[in-house]
Amino acid sequence: MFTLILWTLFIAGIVVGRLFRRRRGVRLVGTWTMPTVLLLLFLFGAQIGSDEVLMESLPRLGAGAALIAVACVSGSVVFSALVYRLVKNKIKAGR
Amino acid sequence: MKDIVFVLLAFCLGLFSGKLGLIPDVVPLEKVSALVLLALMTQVGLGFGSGESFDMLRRDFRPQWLLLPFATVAGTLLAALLVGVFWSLGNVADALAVGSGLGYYSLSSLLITQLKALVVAPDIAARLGIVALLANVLRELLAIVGAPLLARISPLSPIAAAGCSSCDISLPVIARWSGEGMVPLAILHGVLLDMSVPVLVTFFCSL
Repeated sequence: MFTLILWTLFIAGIVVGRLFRRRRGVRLVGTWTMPTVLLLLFLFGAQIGSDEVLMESLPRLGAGAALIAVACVSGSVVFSALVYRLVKNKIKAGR
Repeated sequence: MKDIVFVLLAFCLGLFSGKLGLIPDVVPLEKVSALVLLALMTQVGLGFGSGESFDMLRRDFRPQWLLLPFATVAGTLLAALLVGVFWSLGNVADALAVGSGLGYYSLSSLLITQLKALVVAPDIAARLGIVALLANVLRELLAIVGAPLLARISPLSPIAAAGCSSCDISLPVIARWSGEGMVPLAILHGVLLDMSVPVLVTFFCSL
């Protein structure tokens, strides 16, 4: 249910944004996401901070995060290098 | 860079406030967070709809440019899958959800926390949300700091590493190390990835 509402609002936002794109107010609300993001991250931090067990597991979570970050960047880098080779060879082949 | 600092600052302020018990018990943190997330998604939608990226997408689009975003996502998801098989922080779907943040640390971490809380205990969801936040912030940092090295592998690699941030925060280093000619592709790449993050994260959170 929550996901449905979330997505409805998201798509509604795109539609409204598209329709009223000439209105400066609409554009401002769309680009000024920073205050909302900061508020949410503060609330997120507060939820975590008040949970002692969670706080204690932060180092372990950080290590897991580092692992996945390095892995995902590496994966993207390798695949993009492959794409580059592919495109370069196509250009060389005169296509 | 400034953005990342503010984001981490807000998060740390929240951590301290929570730890020191500064938030009165009467405030339903989870409900408030859910409402603010709804507001954020609406804002993000408004931003997409009203922004120039929409028109740019229709104007400058070349089919072969799609290869790079696909490569970035495919490489990311494959790597996340492998990590998910071995790590202890969650199952494979969890790892894929974190990876599909593609550098969009704010939205992905907040989405994961809320969406996973619908199926698991809120603190387990928050755990994954933290991992998503840290992992995607780190992704951006790696892309920015590693751009000179990555550009030696291929000009496309700094763009792929940056993920969603290739159209904003990481764009300057991409222009510098991959070349100015890569800028339109980097912007398209970032915009497309920005749009796929909500879809991918929601999908993997539902598995």
